This record gives sequence, C-alpha cells and structure tokens, in this order.
Amino acid sequence: MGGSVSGQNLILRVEGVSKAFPGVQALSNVDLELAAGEVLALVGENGAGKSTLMKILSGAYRKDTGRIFINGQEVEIASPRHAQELGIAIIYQEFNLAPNLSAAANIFLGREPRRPSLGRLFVDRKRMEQEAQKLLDRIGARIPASTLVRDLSVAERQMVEIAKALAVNARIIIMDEPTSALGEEEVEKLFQVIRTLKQQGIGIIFITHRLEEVFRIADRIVVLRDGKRVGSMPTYKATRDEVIRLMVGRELGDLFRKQKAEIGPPLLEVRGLTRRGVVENVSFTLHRGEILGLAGLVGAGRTETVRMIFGADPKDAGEILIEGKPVKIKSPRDAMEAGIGFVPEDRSNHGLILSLSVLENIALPSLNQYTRLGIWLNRIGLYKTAREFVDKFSIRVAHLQQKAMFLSGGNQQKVVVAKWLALRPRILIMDEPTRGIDVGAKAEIHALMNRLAQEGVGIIMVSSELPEILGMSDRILVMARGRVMTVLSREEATQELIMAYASGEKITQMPDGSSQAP
Amino acid sequence: MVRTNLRGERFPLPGLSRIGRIREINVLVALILLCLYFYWSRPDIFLEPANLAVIMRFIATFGMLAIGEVLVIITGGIDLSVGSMLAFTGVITAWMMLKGIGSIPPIGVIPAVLITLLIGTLIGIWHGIFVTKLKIPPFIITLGTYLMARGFAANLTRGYPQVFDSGHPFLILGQGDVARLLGWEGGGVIGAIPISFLILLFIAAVVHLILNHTPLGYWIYAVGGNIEAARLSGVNADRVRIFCYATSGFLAALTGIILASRLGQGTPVVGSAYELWAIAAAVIGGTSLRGGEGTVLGAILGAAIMGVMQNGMVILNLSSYVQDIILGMVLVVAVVYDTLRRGGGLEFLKKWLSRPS
Repeated sequence: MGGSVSGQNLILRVEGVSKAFPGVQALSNVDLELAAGEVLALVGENGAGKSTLMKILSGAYRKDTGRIFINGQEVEIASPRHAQELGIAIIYQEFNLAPNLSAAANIFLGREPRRPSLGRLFVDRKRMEQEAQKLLDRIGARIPASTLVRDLSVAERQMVEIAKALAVNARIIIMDEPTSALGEEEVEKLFQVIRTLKQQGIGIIFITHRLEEVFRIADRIVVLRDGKRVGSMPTYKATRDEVIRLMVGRELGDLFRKQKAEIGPPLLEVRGLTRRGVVENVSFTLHRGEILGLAGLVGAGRTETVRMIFGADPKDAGEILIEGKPVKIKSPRDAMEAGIGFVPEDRSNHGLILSLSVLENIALPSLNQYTRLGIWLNRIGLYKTAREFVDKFSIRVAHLQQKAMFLSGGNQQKVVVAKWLALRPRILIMDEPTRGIDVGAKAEIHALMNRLAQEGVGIIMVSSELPEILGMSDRILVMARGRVMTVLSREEATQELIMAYASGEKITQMPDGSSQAP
Repeated sequence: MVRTNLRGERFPLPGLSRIGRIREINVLVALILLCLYFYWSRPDIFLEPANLAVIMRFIATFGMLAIGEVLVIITGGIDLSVGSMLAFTGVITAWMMLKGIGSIPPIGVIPAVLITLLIGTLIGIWHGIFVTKLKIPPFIITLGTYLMARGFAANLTRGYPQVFDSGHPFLILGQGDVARLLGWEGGGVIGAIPISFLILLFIAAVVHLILNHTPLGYWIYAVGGNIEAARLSGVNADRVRIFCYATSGFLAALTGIILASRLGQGTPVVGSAYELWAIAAAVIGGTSLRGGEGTVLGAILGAAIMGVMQNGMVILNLSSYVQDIILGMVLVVAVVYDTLRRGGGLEFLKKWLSRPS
C-alpha cells in the first residue's frame, strides 16, 4: 500500500511555507503533502525544522509565508483550537493529560456529554465512559475507559491521546517522537494502532529519529535539513544510506575547529556507570587537554550520563576515578571539590538564576573562596573576579548588577561558563554548550574551549550538532539508548558513521560482550 | 529584585536592579504620609513618647516575626506556626522560671530564656527537615505545629496563665525601656524606646548582614530564585532552607519570651493569628510569596505600616471591626500595586481595559 500523493484523496497540502525566528530561518519554502490513509515519516537532524513545521500545522506558531490547504481548501491556521476544528491533532512527546482524571474524562475534557435534565448542568458520566470506550476499542486499545490516567503506562497514555484526537474527528494526526519512550512490544502495539487508523482513512505524520521504524511503518519519507525539504520519496524506493546522507549532507564549515592541544595522561575515568532503564554500563576515559564529544540522538542518555558524573542525579552503579584515584561524588558540591565544572543543557533553568545579577551568578559556585574569617564576603574580590571574566570573555552587560534574565542567549552562556571557570576546574562538562546561540557567540565559546584544552583542562562536550562534534572533539563517544555504541577517533569519524551508530544501526561490541568503550 | 549586595556607592547601579530599592522607598513614603496624617488628626497624642512606645512595641513583635517569615518565604516556603509558637514558648519559659521542670526546682531567667530559644530553634529545624528531606509541603508541616504548639501549651497549663509577681527581673525584657535601663528620669522619646525594639534593631542588623554580606545570604536568594540551578552550582539547598526555618523558629521563641515578659505571664491564648500578620507585614514590605525576593528592611517597614495604622485607628476611635477591614484593604492594595509594578498584571489590565465591548 505505497501511499500515492495524487488525486482527490489529498487531505493536506503545504506550499512554500517559511518561518523565521530572531537570528535563524527555521523553515524556508517547505512543501508537504499528505493523503488520506497515508503514513508520512518526517525525518531530519535536531534543529532541522520538523518541530517548527508541526507547530505551524497545529496552530502553535503562525507561518511567515506560504499556503496551507486542507481537503483542497486554503486555510489560515490561527490557533491550536482552530487546528483542532480543522481536524488536525498533534500528539506530543510530553502528554497533555490530567493524571488525576479517568481516560474517559481526559478524552472528553472540555466537551463532556451532559445529562439532558436539569438544564444540562451535570456530566453524563455513563455516556461519557461508553463513548470513550468505543473510541478506545476502535483503535484496539484494551483500556477500560474509567481507569485513571496516572495508573496507565506510557504506551496506554498515548492510546488515550489518540482516542482524544479521534473524539474531535481528527483527520490528520501528527505524532512527535511517539516511540521515544516506548519499549519494543509497545512500539509494535502502537504500529498496530497506526495501521488501524490508516484503514479508517486518517493521515498520519510520524516524526522520529529511529530510521528503522521509518522503514517499518511509513509509506513515504520526507527529509528536512536546515529548514529546507531536501528529499521526498516513497519508502519502497528509499534506502537507509540515502536517507542518512540527505539528513546530514552539509558542508563542514570552518566554524568548528579544534586547536592542537597536548593530550596528557588520563584525567577522568568512568567505569560501569549505570542508572537502570536510563544509562547502562557506560565507561570511558578523558585525558588532560582533550575534548571528548558525546554524540547521540535526543534521549540517548548523554545528559543523564554527565549529570550522574557531576552528582546531580543518583547512580545505581559505577565508579569515577580522577587521576587514578577513586572519588565519591554524591552531590554537585562533591564534584566541584573534585575539580569538575558543569555547564548544563538548560541554560535558563539549570545554568543560571535569572533573578540574580551577572555578578552573583558568576560568584555563586566560588563564594567560599571570597570570604574573610570563613563567613564575611569580600565583595571587592568578588567584583574584581566577575569584572575580569566579563572583560576576558567580552560578555556584553550594561553593568555587573544587571540581572541575568536581561542578557542574550550567547551572553548568558558565557556567564555560565565564567561561573565555572572562576572555580578553576580540571574537568569541564558542557552539555549542548552552543545550542540556540548565534554564530558569533558560538565561535567565542569554541575559542574558549580551545584555550582551556591548551591549559590542560579535560572537556566533555555533549552536542547534538554533528558539525560541532566533528570539528571540536578529539574523540567521539556515540551513545544510543543509554549505552555506549562506539568511540571514534577524530580521523575516522564522519557524519554518516556517527548517525549510523546513533540510530542504533551499528554497534561496536567489546570482547567481553559489553558495549564498553576503550 | 533580589536586593542583594554590592549596591554600595562604590559600584554603579543603573537600570532595573534598582527596582527593589524603589519599592522600599514607596513603603517608606507611605509610612511617612500615614504618620503625618495621624499627627495632623491627633497632634496631642500621636507623637507622645508613651504612644510612640506602643507603636514600637508592636513593630518589635511583628517585625521580628516578619523577618523570620521573609527568610522562609524567600526560599519559597511559609511558616504558619509562629503565632502558636509564641504561646508555646511563652508558657514554657514562664513554667521553667515559676514551676521548674519535673522535679527540678525553678531555674533562673537566663537559663530559662536560653533553653526556650533552643527549643524554638529545634522546632524550626524540625520543620526544615520535613520540608527538605521528606518533601512535606511547608504549609502542612507548619500547620501541624500551629495546632500542636498551642495545644501543648494549653494542656501543660490546663489553660491557666502562668503569672509572674510584679517586680520579677524577667519583666524588664518586655516592659523596660531605655530610660529604665539607664536610670534616666523622663528621657523623652529616646527614653521611651522599649528594650524589645532595641532587640529588634539588633536582630534586623544581624539578619541584614547575613543576607547581604555572607555566602549564606547569596545562597538563600539563589535557592529562592531557582533551587535546581543553585544545587547545580554546589549550594547545599537543604541546609540553606533548614537554616531559614530554624531562624524563624528562633525568632518566634524570642518574640514569645518578650511577649510573656510584657504581659507578665505565659499564657496559651496569646499570639492568635500573629503568623498571618507577620506574613502580611512581609508582603507589604515587598516580599514575594513566589520566593526569591524579600528584605529585612522591607519586613520592618511593613510591620511599621501595620503598627502605625493600627495605633492611628485606635487613637481615632475607629471600632476594631473597621480596623480589620482597613488593614485587609491595605494588604490587598499593597500586593496588587506590587504585582502591577512588576508587570505581571499590567498586561492583563491593559487587555481587560481594551477588550472589545
């Protein structure tokens, strides 16, 4: 049943849609077609524009230019509610369900059937549950409609979301990474539901990182890269290699360039780091002056791994050695005392305290170094240090008392880096150090990383941007589903190779059977 | 507007970081206008040393409690127990001085006061441990103490006040003033300053210095601003929060002792609803219940506004019912004004005003 893109059963047509955000063209001139009963896989790297396009279709964003047709009629999707009225439903990774209500109540939230008597004041609970049950049965979900959502598994919650979409007569269902939180069996169940929906003439747009699933369920594949549509083909004509090439096929600019730094002796050794169900038996070594890139797809367990190393989250098993000596790290404080700094992924929620000033943010981890008699703050010393970093990194602030919330993303990130460097760490963990910041600030952050490496600091860099990984890393550790898939040297790594490991297509097995890296 | 630090003359302070200070100036201006109004209404009474002493005693009581609340509220919590703690600690301290503990004979003023302060601090630590380690909402755990502390005080005394003889040395603490302390005759306004008000000034200075000049102070604001980011910066957020609850407990005990001294008795009925007054004072002084914001100066100015209002309405002979209505309105107006000033509600107001009719 290779879905055709022709004829009268085209339910959605997107023509030349563009969308820009300050500093970035998220979508340029994208076309998309969806037929009734078709499963369309939308693939692309992180930041390729998939989410932006879906948010336009679901009414969360407004497009800048371009036209959208539903059943041949041009529409201007004004709001999420409007999208719903047009028959478009979106199912996000994070569900929009109230856990304390039943499946039925969630499915009919805001549109509860009423009892005809007493001025339609009361909810007709019985009818609501019957109707909900019909919808759940229709997609083959074996869930009693009266079950509370909090008692359902992730997969079952997804079924409830789908039933909710059907309850408003959705003809187009968008699924954003629906399988990222599902196990193998649950994925198969979901695919069963998708096949049922197909037969009922519903068009499905399926966003995923897992190529293997694309080939199992999709009729057609559309590839986005840097906000442009770079490919569209029926699945039976596509090959894995071709899709990967389309996804990453980009020239590596001069932007990311690791400078020569002397790679010294081992600095940090991680052995068998595990948190059940999240990170499994991760081991690696970081050397002085080295930048170790952690590559992988969203949800591969990279952030979880580095947070455990820093003591931000508990671990079930694993050992951490610094310069050959085991260290106990149970809290960020322990990690800091061991000489580790951590630039977190979520700059505004984890990296900074937005309501505090630039000075206070820079000073926060190292306050204890600026006291007299152990308690009295040497404010002049703090001021001088903050001034020094602000000048050295050319952080653009009006004054040191300016609150962090009023800085641009790039300057905020420099403040986060500065606050760790004020501690003079031996090891710096940087989770997505340049995400969402402009090219200029990016280059400055990279220059800083180079300088630190030359001073002998070991850096672990988590990044979802392959060019950054390839350009900046001395070695690249690729993770997928909580495991280390391989470690590649700078010379052997290519975008295609990394993608192949990251999507779980390839794995380097170690002799002892674990997926441990050398 | 976390009003932290380095705001000395040495450093430039343009722009938005000044909002906090403006806010306190507003409260100060309101306070001065209130004083002028009441002075203009009753020039014969308002500025009399005896009347000012009444106002200062009020400020001492609620200012001290409000400082404790400010610390807890900055970190995103609340302490509902302080009113009952006043009764509990007042009864305990009186009981120890008058009846002794079990078979131990009555003890002196100083050990009794110190033990009571220790008990208050320990109860505060108890709150802090429940909030941080067991993740119990602060509202609930302090509500538990709110019920238990007064119940315990009433049970211990069977409801009877523990009355001191007049002339008991303990009574100087709550009833004495500067004139009595220094053996002055008369002494005017300065001589009329109550000892409890001096204690408040001392406590305020100490807490102010902690908030603005020690790492702990930075950590308190950091935890209130964003607890996860603070934790990831190596701040021991649990310990910081426990410190704030402990301080609130300590200050409640101190206020309870002073109140027992002033009344000349430890009684289980004292301090009812005082926690709400203390929270009101903190909020009028610019503390945000969302956490991250609040100052000692604001807490005292808030308590002063309430003290002057209350006193002024008494000398104007308003009925106590009307007094409550007006104080409630002041609280609402202060918070609405503050919210609008921060821009949170202004958008809503604009939208509402420009709505299509």
